[in-house]
Amino acid sequence: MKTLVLVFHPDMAKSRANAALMAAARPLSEDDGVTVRDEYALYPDGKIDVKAEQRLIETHDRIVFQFPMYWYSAPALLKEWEDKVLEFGWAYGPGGEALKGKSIMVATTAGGPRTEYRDEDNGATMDEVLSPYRMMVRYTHAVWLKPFVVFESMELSDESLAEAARDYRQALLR
Amino acid sequence: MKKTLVLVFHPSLNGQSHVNAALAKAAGELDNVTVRDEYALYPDGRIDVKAEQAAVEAADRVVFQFPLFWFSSPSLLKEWEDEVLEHGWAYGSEGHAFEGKEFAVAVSTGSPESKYQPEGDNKFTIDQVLVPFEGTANHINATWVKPFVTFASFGITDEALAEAAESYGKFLSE
Repeated sequence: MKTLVLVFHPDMAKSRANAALMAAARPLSEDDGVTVRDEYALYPDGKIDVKAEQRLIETHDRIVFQFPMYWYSAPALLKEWEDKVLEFGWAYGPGGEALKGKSIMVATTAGGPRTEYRDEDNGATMDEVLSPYRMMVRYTHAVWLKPFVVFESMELSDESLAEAARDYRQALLR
Repeated sequence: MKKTLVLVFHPSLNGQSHVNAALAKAAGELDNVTVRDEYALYPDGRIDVKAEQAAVEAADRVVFQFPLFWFSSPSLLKEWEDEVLEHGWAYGSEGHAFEGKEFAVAVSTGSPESKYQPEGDNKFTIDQVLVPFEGTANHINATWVKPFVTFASFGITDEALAEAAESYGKFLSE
């Protein structure tokens, strides 16, 4: 099982939770079958190398989109990645089977507590917030994995964050 | 009369767009409606945050108009949210820019409405697809208006498109 972790955080230097998760994933080497890429660092001007991204997808079995939750969605570069990389004839449409059968997992950090993602507050659970990704996975005939979610990412104690990072590492090795 | 700001996010409004171009044209013919072609304004993706904030401040109602790409907006709209909706302007204890304003989405989908049903191909309804936008509206204390949806935009007839444009004009004049 080869896992590709695509991290989308616009300012990793200022990140705490995503930086900790990425640091937990990074020591995993080729031997562990885990590849980690910091997408904003790779594409500071937002111009994505579509062929390079497609080749990476093709050579991995599981894709993880890791990002902080911004406005109930991912930072803009992940949307740009979807719009550019998931081409007609490659990801969907005639001959578009690149993602078929691959597993896709969202790993996200939310500033708010779990309770913010309940019906009584803003009317949307985390599952509902992630439904556009679920639909993309369905559309490309990939397999949706249970998301890895870290709530209250701003207020987490160092200890809880270290625990989340350990859990994340385990999830990637599973 | 309400002043309405329509922010259109289509990567090629004056080229490949058929439906969004017709809707934007209909919007532009109305009094009290300002239409901005955001991809044309920011071809390099660098948004003028102050100019966008000033445009929002001058309006009573803000409409995001876009074609649905991967069950969400084109990436520039996400960039717009990430950059323009600043802490202390849109949210936070000093962020009141959207309070009392109406906020709507006008979206076109290639597929017919029958696919956006629990038993349809996409399994989710358009309201579920738009949950991140509704959550954003709630977070900035704007009033969420029922979205204007143009389904089945692929291969739409001239007649149906003219009808959609007329309905859109009414939607924006309400």
